[in-house]
Amino acid sequence: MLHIIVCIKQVPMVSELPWDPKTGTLKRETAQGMMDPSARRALEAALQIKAGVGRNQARITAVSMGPPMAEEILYEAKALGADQGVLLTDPCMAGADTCMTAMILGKFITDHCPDAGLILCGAMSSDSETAQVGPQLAEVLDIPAVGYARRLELVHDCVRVERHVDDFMEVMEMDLPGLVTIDHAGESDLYTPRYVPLAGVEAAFNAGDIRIMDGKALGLNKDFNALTSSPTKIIDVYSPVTRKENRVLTGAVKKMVDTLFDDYGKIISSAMGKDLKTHDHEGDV
Amino acid sequence: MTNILVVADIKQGELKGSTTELLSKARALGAQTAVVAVGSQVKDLAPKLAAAGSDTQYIVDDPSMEIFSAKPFTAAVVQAANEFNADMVWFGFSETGKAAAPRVAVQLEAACANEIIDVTIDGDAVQIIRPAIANKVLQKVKIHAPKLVALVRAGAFEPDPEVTGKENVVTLDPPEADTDAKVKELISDASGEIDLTDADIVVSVGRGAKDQAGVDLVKALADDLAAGFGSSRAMVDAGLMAHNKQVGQTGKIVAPTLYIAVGISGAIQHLAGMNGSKVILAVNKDPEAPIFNVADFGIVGDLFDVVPSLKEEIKKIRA
Repeated sequence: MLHIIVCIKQVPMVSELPWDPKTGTLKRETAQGMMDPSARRALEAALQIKAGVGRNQARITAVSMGPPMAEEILYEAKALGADQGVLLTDPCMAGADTCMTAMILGKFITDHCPDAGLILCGAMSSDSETAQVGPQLAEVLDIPAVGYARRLELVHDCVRVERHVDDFMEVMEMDLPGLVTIDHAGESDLYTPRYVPLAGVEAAFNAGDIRIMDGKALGLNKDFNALTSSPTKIIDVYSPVTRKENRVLTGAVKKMVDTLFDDYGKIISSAMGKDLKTHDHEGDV
Repeated sequence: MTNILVVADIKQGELKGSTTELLSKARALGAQTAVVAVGSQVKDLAPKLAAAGSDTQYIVDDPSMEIFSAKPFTAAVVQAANEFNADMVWFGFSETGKAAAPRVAVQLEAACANEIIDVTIDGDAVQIIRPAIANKVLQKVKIHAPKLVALVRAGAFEPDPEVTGKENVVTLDPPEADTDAKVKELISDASGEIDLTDADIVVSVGRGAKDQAGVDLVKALADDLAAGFGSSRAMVDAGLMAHNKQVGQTGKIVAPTLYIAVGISGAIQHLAGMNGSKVILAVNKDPEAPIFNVADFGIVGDLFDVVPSLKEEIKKIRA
């Protein structure tokens, strides 16, 4: 039986940004949450692998570290077909950066899922965009890892992974246990997430069997504090200042293009590595 | 004194510009600089690595390192970092850097920061700045660890034309090959075209080009400019452009001197991949297109009229 662990994260649906200026962290409790799109793709990959090997040949555990409200995405994961949902939540885990997140997930997998064969993560979450937790988790677990996969396939005791790396498409084989992060991709590819059946979410809610683990249940040291243990801490969040002119012209094409070359001809020609001859307006009246 | 180790960005045997940019910044911060080059047949790059601004060159040269594999690459960088007693390890922005940087951080028990655009050192206090949430915000991050591993966003640091270093080559033993994760096949989709992340000018095409004829027209403009030719995701999904041409949050992040967006409306995912460009020109039919909000100069018009006119003017510059 292959035990697949899918690490998922709840991210805010960002139209508004509820940052707490005091702590420099996201006020997740006030944000409307959703399952991170890249984690959703990782779950889809797990579901397809399970379907491929047969219901009784694989088991999927979806795990998330986050505030209590992150339980929602675990119900959703169960509705989609995960066998088990586990939420790692404790005030002492708040403020964890990627290193601490990887450490906590690693502790859960090592101590509570010793039979874990394949660990899947989204390549990069849509909020913090660090793309660090997957590779860091692999190092914590001391297992091989392949990042940014487009396609996975089980072959005997290993997993065959296709991924794009710079200008190559690479096909790799990795022994299990191992970790794979699933890339974002076009809208219509292999791991486009399936729709959540509404009835399934209701049923999952009614069954109410998400396993909640606090620091103690996880076996964290009792004075553990993720915020102070994290080697990075966000101290300020602000909007980037754009110094763009935002000149937008309408009108006759020739005139607009002439104005462009009058004002930006030097920049264009120097970027081309050419000297600009004085720009003449032929045909100008 | 801070010791900064820069991981050389080498693609197909060539040293990429980001290496000079990172070393220039490291020297501007007053750091001791070293570079580590990992690969096959990379030892001949030593003079170039010195000229790029490093005072020590760690070379890990072995046929087994020809194809990138995260585990041995990580081990090689960690070995160099320990030899150099590095306080910071900086990667340029590349797929290999993205894969290796977090692993190096765990091995060095260092803080890890991805896609940084600035770093400040004030005594022992180190801070970095990085964008998040599709470039909507910038995060200022304080580093509470003696060491930092950082991946630097493309175009974040300016190369110093005066920069130079001295040659001091240290050859390191290659790490053991990874027996757990093996590359079985490598299918190149390199087309011999200009590398998007390296180009001074990038011309990108979007949905406004409609079909193959439109793509060909914009491609001809890119060729006239000797520019890299990129794409919005819509064109990749439509099968009109190759996956590796996609500029955006989930594709390539570019920051050229000049970015020309043709027929691209400017979805937030696309903007996240190009709004660090120094000068942005946009052509779009729709005056309300969000691309104009990030553009220095916008032309409202049908690209099928505007592009031929642009080509005319560029022909004059080329002449």
